[in-house]
Amino acid sequence: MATDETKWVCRKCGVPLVLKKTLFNYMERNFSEDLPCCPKCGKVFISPELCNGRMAEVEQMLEDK
Amino acid sequence: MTMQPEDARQYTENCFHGEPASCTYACPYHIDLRALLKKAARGRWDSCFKDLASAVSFPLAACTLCGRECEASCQRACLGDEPVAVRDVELACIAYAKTHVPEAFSIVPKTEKLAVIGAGPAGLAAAWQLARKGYPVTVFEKEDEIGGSLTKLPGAEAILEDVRAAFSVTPVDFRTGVTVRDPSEADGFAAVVLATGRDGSGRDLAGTRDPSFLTSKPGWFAVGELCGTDACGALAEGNAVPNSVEAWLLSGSPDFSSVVWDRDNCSRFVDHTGAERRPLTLKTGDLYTKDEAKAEAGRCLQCDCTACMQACEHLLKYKKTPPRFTLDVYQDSQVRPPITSHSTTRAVYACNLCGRCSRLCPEETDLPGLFCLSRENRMERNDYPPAFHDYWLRSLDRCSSETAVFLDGAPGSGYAFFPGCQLGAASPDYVTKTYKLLRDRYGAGLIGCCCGAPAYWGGDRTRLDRNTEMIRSHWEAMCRPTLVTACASCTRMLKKVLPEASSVSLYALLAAEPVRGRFPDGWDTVSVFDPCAVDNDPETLAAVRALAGDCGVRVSSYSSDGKCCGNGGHIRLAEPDLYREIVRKRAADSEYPFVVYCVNCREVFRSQGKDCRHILEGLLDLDAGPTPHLDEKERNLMKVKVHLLEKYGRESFVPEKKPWDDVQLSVGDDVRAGMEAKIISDADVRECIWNAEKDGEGFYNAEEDSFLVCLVRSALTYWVRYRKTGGGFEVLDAYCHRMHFRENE
Repeated sequence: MATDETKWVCRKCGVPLVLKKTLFNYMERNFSEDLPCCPKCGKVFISPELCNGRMAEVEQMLEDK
Repeated sequence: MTMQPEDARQYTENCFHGEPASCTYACPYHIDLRALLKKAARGRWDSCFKDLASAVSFPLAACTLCGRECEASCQRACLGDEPVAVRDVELACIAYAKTHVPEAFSIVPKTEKLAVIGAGPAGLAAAWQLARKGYPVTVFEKEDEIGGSLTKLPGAEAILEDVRAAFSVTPVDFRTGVTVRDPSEADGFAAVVLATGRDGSGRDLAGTRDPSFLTSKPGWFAVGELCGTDACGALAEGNAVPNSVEAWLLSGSPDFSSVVWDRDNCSRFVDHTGAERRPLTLKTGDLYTKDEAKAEAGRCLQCDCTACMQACEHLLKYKKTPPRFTLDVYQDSQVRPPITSHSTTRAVYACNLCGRCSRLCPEETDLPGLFCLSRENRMERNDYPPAFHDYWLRSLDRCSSETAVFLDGAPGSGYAFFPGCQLGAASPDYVTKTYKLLRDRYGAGLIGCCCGAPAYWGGDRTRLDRNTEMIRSHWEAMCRPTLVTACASCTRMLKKVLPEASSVSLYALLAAEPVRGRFPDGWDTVSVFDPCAVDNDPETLAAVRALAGDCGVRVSSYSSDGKCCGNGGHIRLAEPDLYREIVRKRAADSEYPFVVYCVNCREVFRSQGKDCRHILEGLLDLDAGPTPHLDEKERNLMKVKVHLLEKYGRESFVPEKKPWDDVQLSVGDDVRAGMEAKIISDADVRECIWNAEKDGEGFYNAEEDSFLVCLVRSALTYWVRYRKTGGGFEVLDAYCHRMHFRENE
């Protein structure tokens, strides 16, 4: 699958991605989630599945609060 | 600025939804007749009797005494019907109840001993209601029998039997044959209710009572015929005084009781237009039969104003009343996230702000005003979801800077065309051809920028004020021309922010000297869908229908009656489901093709596959074609500016280029549809790719030979997956999210 994170490498550092705790912030609330990142430069990878799925759900939830 | 409760309340303070109906105001006992008649219509006689007993203590006495004041205030009269025969229904409830012995409540006994002096209607009711609250009550009566003036009523025996039944489960200490001559005899009682009757003792003290029945003597209350009421009023006061007594016992002041009604009679009637007329149910005997009583109770219109709630998809969805929204808006203005939560965020941003509810409201409640207040307050406090309005606010900025165009008219021309930002975006011809006509005919100038509605809808007061100042400066430099508006939302907005400028609807002006046009579709009959913001202005409504007729079509009798197509208030991102529901319903509203005079309406209807044309398409003989996508809209606005400045401007104009303007994209239909739904424009994608290519940022997928890159903006983060093609980029996916993430160090 094109968006499977194991198929991707950091364009700058040329290394495969690893799961790392990433901090999120929205509507004055903070939370964290393990996401694929570049182990060298720390760039975070967000797939469309995550963006349109769980993230959209959380956004909706927080907007209702 | 901090919101005060009254700031929010002013928008809905006259709403009377949920308040007692006019009959209840008129009823001396203020019985909730709406609820009573609803139960009676279902034959729930026992429950009705209980409710009556709670309200009036002794239902038979109350019915015998009352003057049927409720019937004089029954709103059935608005339909030309006889009022509901409430008393006859009540008598039926009393007759058909299985028992007249009320329920005994197990409540914790109170310790304060209370005295009631006088056992007439007022004293008995006060004693019974106080005893029900758990107080030990002693009743002093100078006669040997209780009842007072009740004993003189027709049917007194049955009435007194009911009274005795009531006291059988809620006993009080009756001291009959005892005359209380000196107030000191009541020492030891925490409070005393004086109800000695028409010629009873204590008249001087009774004369000092306040509206909550408290006399000048602390703890002494006076009610009933002693104070000059009739027996009916005495019974009503006897039922009301316990609230005052209890409030006084608990707080030292009766002010906290709710015995004082703010008005005796409510004249605020519900609009019953279209309600079914129903004749009075006739009695076959002295008393209604059960079926007759049910039928008669069923004639109650259950008067409660829901005019706005029945007419609006938003209010039907959120099921909140205007006063409830007011409370929520105020409470949300005090919220401090993440410690406390909002209660009405999405509802505030899901209103089309069309104003139809205000027009239907008999008291002109202004919910759109309330929601705008909330949106503004939340933006001021930086406590809002920025993604809801981000696209339109950025679009406003472009329309009022990069693509804004201003042209002086011919000397002495009193007109300036104000096309609004969406007309040219939909098709440049709308603006350029209309302007040519206005310029030829009237020598009109042109103010081509945004009216500010997106800022008003987004609650962005700073942007709105800045935009207004820009319009004002150009308008003044042009010697204050009359603004010829093509969009009803602009008209409405300009009236609000620039009230000193006079305006005329483009369509009213065109109708004065009609242009003979035609629609390209071979239409026979059409329906005109009036934009909500036209506020049913009769002149514009008539002008557009006349113009449609000039285009050779028959106009049906359809009226959109102020309904919004769905675009108003920019709710699309805040509440996509509701948006979809509204646009689907509107498109199906008429069997005929729609003629509109707002390009947003056109876009909405076309998105539903509805046959729809802008009136200018007929008048100017142009085919605006399918709705352009976001990128085309931006380019169209620039085309308008370039064309107008070339033709009428004093100097040549070359649009400023952004570095990513030359990024060549190819976007497939599926990807395009996704982008349009999320409101991601090609310009966003270009900027995203250009940035990543410049810095070599992002991720690479060797298997697919594709890149994934992102662009972080304050409201949204955009992600684009693409493949390089010869000289350009094939967009494989584009998506965005609202939350921010922090990259690991």
